[in-house]
Amino acid sequence: MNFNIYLPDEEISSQRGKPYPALYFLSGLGSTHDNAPQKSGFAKYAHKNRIAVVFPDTSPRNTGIAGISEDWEAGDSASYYVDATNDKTKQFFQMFSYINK
Amino acid sequence: MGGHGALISALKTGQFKSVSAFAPISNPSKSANWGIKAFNLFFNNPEVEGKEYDTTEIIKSGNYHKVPTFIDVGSADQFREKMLIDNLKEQLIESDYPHLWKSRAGYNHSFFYVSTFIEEHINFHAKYLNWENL
Repeated sequence: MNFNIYLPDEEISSQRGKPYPALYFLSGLGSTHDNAPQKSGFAKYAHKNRIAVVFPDTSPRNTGIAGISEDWEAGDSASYYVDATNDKTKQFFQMFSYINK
Repeated sequence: MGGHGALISALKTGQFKSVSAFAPISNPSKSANWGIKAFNLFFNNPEVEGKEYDTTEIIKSGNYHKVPTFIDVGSADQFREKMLIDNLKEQLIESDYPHLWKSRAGYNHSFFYVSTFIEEHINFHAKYLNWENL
């Protein structure tokens, strides 16, 4: 799974080894881990408030599940951040656990 | 969908200090295209399991962790009927769930809407996320 992480620069040298307050920025339908960091304009304000920001991908990729990338509203880039339970998808689509555990 | 993920994560786990959402999918177990279709793909029993990942249904159930909550939506959002965000708005009021709600006149579902108002969201979280509490 891909993700991006932003650390407030001035703190890296002075606070290295200490934890950062972290904001998790989950992106929307059709997005990857790159959309929010590139398009949201978050950095100026994360820097000002000294907050780290984590940008997870919106779904697993390259799962090989038949038809999983054919519908932009369900499947690839459309995980709905749930833990799947059926045999077709549960091996890969465990996004609720991925984000929260 | 990101706002939906954020809301269900915060409400179900209680492990976040605050949560905010731009134009979230709000009642997916009742939305044919933005919910039910995906729940049919993921769940053995979509009608039951889907409600466990549905912000409006979670608030309605009363079984959640109360988290400082900020919800934002554009008045011209082209997906309003798919998000069913008005169902969430009504449920939050009916359940007397404390929250901040902002409706932005004329904005749609685009990243330009997000980037216009991101400062307010990060400042909201900064009130609850601070170095002293780590």
